[in-house]
Amino acid sequence: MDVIPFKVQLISIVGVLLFMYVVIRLIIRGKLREEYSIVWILGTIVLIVFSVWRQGLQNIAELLNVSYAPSLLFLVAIFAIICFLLHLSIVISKLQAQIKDLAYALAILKQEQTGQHQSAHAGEAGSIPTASDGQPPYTNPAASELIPPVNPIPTRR
Amino acid sequence: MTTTPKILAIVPCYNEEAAIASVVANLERVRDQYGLHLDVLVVNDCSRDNSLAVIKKTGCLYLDLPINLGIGGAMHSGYRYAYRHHYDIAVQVDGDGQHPASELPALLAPLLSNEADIVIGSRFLNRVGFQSTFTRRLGIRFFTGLNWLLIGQTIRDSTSGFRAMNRRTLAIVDRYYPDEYPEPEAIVQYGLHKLRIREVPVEMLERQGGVSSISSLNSVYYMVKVTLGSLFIFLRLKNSRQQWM
Repeated sequence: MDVIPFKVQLISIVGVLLFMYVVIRLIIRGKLREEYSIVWILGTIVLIVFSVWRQGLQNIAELLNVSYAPSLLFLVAIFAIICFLLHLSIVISKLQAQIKDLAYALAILKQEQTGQHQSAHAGEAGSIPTASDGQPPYTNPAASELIPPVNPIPTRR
Repeated sequence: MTTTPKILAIVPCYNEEAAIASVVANLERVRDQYGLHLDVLVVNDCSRDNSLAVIKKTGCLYLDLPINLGIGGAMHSGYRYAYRHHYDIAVQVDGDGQHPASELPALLAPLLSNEADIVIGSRFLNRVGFQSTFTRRLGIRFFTGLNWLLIGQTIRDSTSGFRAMNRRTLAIVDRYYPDEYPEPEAIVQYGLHKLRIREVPVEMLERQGGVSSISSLNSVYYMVKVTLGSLFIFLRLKNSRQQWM
């Protein structure tokens, strides 16, 4: 089988460079965090290598006894995409847990700010005042404990 | 518990403007009747109706969640509040009026005598009051079986939200409480933490307003999600002790 035609090579090099430019621009503008950009930059470098080194894909395919070289490309690309999607799901799960904790903290803080009034009312109704009674919200020990541990699921070592 | 224990009744509320005021009033009446040291905390889970205004008018404690988190998140925030404000006992009472406040003493008794760490009000033990629909009872029976397989205990009304817990249990749920539809999963969590679970017969009512968090449309999702959640919480907690995975 022939190596990739020159026209296709030119198009892929231009495309990859354009893609790299977009990634870098996003990082500079602060729209993409560096930690997530690493995988994109690595991906583009791999693409650049294979679009410059025309014989490369063919050689590797022969080495692995793959008769149709592009199928190797698809296999690797799809696997990489699935890995990255899993990574994104993990990130989203972590964010969701953090948002939940923040929402709790915010709701509890809001409650403690109006706590004086609430406790006073509870006192009228004949119950004993709550723990936040008579303390300014920010010196309340309960309030300082409010920033929760980041990982709600106990990790195993 | 030598002194009178501090009790927090947590009432999760999502679009319950019709029922919430009477739920709070009933709880306060029971408090005065039995001389309990009880506070009522309504957790408003971003209701889109007039619930928040109704809650404010009752004068009870309330948490106003900034985003909608579902019943699991609402209860977790309430439990966290209870734990960090040093309550001895927390009770979940649904905001739709299904859980009659008059059953509160029955629910609290095993905690006060230190015979249990978590008490679940069950409508199936004495078979009185509202018994739910046939299909729903079938689903509940499935979770009863699943819980029995996982922790070896039979909890007849595994989806009942009418629950009371002591501080030992609060310390555990403060750290982690299941999402979305937490009740059956939480039983597995309690069982694996070796908490003493006790079921007591209570009489439940039909909801007085609002709509259930489980519609027929997403009941399949409910079954799958809760089954997976139960299995995974089982594996997670088992592993944290045995450390083979």
